[in-house]
Amino acid sequence: MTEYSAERITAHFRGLILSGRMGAGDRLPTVRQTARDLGVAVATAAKAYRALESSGFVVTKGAAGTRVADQPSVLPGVVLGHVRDAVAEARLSGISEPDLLSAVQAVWRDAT
Amino acid sequence: MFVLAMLYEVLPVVAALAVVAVLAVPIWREKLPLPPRLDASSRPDAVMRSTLASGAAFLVLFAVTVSVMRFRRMRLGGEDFAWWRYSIPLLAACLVLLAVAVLLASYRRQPAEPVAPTHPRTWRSFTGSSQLWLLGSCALALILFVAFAGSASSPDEEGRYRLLVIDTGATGGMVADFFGWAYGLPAAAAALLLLVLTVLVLHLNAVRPFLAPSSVRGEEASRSALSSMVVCLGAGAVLLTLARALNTAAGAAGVSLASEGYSFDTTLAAASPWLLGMSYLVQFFGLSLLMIVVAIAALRPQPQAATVHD
Repeated sequence: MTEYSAERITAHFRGLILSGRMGAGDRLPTVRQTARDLGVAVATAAKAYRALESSGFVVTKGAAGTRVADQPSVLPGVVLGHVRDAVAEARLSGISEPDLLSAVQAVWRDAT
Repeated sequence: MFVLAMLYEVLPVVAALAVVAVLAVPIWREKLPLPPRLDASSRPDAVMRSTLASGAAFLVLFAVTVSVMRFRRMRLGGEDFAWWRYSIPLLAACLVLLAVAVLLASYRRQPAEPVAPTHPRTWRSFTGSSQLWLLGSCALALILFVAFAGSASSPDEEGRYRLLVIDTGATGGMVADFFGWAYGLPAAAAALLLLVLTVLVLHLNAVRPFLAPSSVRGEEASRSALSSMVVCLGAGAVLLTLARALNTAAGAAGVSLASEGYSFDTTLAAASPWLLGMSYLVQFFGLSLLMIVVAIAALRPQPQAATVHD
């Protein structure tokens, strides 16, 4: 079973926001639900939410819960389109998610 | 009147035939939430569906029994006052929901492969607005009728508001057994308890973690089916209670007294035929909902796309 760390949870929600799957004002699952779903301690999920808040992706307003910030950073449409195309092609070709991510990371390193 | 009494007795059969006829049409059958085939070791969903279906079947049998008893002029619980006389379907549904809640709460297992959540899941996540309106409006109708009947009722010798009085002034009066505050308040309290338990079960059903990414669609479909069954069971129990209350009120309202050459009616005499007709209609819908619960459990589990209501 894959263990979820606070960093990985943060990356999961950052991915949802950057890809536009979660828009401004959308509500995040409660910390407790995230912890339960991922089988981690509530403190671990809370740490991830604090990291998202400090980086400006989300805002927490008491009873209103944690919501995506009004003007979240979203990938430019062109980039997002290429990412979606790459994922679709990879799935068609039977390439796994970790392999695709590894390839993207390698390409990123080469370009920098 | 004999024909109407017969109609009341055969209503469960009519409702069963109506449900079977509706389910015989493939287009309508496909509208039912079909429970998917899940790994037997993964979830107690099948057990919960059986529990709900058993509860619904019990309520149908109960309604048949009460109808037969009424036809033979027998009363549930005898002639003495019994506060639970009209609340039995509601209390039985509460017990069934409590059992389902215990099953949901006690079954804890770490997911085989955690599924990161993408949106909040609440008690409304797997329940359609129309279903919630159905249950809410049924409960509201019962509570409103409790208030109406309670305000028309009169106390017996022990101060329990369970009688309808025909006041003839100086010539003396007559009383008929009625659905007053004494029966209505326990029924209303049981209906509120049922609503609370329904929300609790819907919540517990929704917040369960998914077992693996590959089973999310199936698990969502199973939760949708379970939510529909819970709501239909609750609404069916409320409607059965309302139907019995309407029937009793119609019977009491239709009583008349002939005295000294005059005929005296109750204050609700004009409403009696309407109350009787409503009781048949409500009983029919209540039984149909309960039989739908049984039908969902009886359908052969199969893979199906999920229905998630955000």
